[in-house]
Amino acid sequence: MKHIIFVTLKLLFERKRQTIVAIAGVSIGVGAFIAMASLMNGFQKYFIEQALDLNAHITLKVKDEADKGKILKKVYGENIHFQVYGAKPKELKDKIVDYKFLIAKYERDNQIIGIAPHLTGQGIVKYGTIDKSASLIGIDPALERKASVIDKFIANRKLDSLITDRESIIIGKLLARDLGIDEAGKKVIITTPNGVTHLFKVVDFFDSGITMLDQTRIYMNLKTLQTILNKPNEVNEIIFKIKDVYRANELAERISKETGYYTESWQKAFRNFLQLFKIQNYITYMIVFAILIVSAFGIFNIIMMTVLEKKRDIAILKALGYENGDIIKIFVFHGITIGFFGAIIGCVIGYAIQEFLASVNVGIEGLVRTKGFALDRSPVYFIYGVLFAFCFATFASFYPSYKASKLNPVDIFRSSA
Amino acid sequence: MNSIVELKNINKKIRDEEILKDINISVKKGEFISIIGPSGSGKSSLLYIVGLLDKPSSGQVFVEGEAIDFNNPQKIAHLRNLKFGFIFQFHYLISEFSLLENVMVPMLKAGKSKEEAKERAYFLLEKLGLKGKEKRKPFQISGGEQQRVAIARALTNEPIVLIADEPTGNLDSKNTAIVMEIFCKLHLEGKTVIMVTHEIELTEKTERVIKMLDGMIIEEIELEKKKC
Repeated sequence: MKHIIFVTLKLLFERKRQTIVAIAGVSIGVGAFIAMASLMNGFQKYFIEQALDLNAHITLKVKDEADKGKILKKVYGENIHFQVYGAKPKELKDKIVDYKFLIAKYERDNQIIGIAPHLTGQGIVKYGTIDKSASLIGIDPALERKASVIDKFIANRKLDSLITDRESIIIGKLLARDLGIDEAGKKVIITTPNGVTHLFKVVDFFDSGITMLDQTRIYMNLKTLQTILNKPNEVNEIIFKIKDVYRANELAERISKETGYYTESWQKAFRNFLQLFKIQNYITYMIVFAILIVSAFGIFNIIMMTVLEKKRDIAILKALGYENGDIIKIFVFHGITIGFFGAIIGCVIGYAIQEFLASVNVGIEGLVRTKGFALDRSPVYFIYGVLFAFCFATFASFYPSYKASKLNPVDIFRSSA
Repeated sequence: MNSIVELKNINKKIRDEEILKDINISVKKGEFISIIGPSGSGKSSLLYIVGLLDKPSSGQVFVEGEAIDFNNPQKIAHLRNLKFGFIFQFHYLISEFSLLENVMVPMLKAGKSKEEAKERAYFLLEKLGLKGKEKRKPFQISGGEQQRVAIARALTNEPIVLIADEPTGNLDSKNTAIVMEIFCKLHLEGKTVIMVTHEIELTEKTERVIKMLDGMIIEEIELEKKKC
């Protein structure tokens, strides 16, 4: 094997320019893969973590009864086809009446960590001359703490104020900004769809980092919201926090069967985003794959050029006793060495890009709101990068190596005589 | 004296063209043979078959009495590495390697350690008058010196036969004389040399001249020994 290593390393080191170009190609591919994978997955993980923290793992709701053909079906049976036009909207009966019983029942379930009731509704919040629509969420702060990590997102940790002062609210940070509220203690007026107007004091801000939520949410005491919406002892949602978040679908199905209510797992609630991430991942990996393919073609070209340029040297090596297998090994080893150094340098480049991205301080406000890039710095991407580089380099070098091994030295000597 | 290389009824066809016809040669140890003939007479083709670089269309080749199986490329490569030393009209030195490294290449294949190969390469380069130039690249030395490096490379594994295909074809008269002197010295040391040449005067140094025409041996002349 030492004769293979000797010849390969000499060819690599003496043909510096070509070797550097090939290594640079692989390095860029690996570096780009690591940076893109950590950026994309970092963003997705951040979003999912935030979403999981902020939203229930499972939400129990009242079944949607708005089946416009229900009466017709009752009269004419299931087998007729019909279309209902101009149905007037009517208020849905969306209350969960037995919520206290359900909470007591599922508190004993060992797969469930926390359970809390919600009453949600819409309202208009007014501060001075500015008004905005908002999602009103009535919570029981003690139960809410067990079923979510809401405390994490309350800027000044004043969730308990909702218990001590029932006229207080916690308002989304972006909603507050849009209303012009820059500090706690300000009073706002909330108007509900049934015409009730109530004065509230802003005691804290809700800052989740997810724009959509921070722009709309207002938390208040459950009892207060029940009062202003005129829904005494009613809730329309129960949220569950479970031990294994990846078993949410299965557990949601079980709870639905047991209670007869509609349940929605976090995967179902975020299916649009998860689908979007899937597409995003396909695009990312296609781009990275394209970069690696280009690098592989770089290696292929360089080794092929070397083989074509070194025909006479290959012929003389064969005349000196080198076997076909030796020639294949020399050029495959050539590719593997390029892949190896390319992968190592690529990892360094990837790490450097990660460091740079981590240090960039930009206010990103879109789907999520962060002060910098959310990165997933898992070593797995480095391992994948190295493996890809190795596989592509070996694959790219195999054909030229095979061609080199098939050169007939006599033909070369005759043609150069 | 037993033959170290023997060709029996060798024929070679390339695309229906017979380039060697019924060749029979026996090479004895220590012989200095020259093969002459016009272009296209089959001299180089014959040499490639003797050196196991090419396989005959029919006939048999024996090396040290053993019949060669041309369907065993590994064995053939092994024999080429250990039993034959090749020198061509063009030096075929690897341009990226130093002179020393060029000479080391066959020895590393033969399984010698790097140190051992280096030591012998230094020795051979010194013997061929290239001391002090070992680290140079082939393009940094003259044509005559390049051919001497090629001779050193051919000698590395102490081959039983040195095969030279027009070794002086690219050299001026001064370097031709130097190369021939080297062949003579090697012959006197007991090495077997088979040389293809165009230059009739060079055959005078050899012991046997094989004349070829149209792929056939038309004459074999035994010359007076020890003209070197």
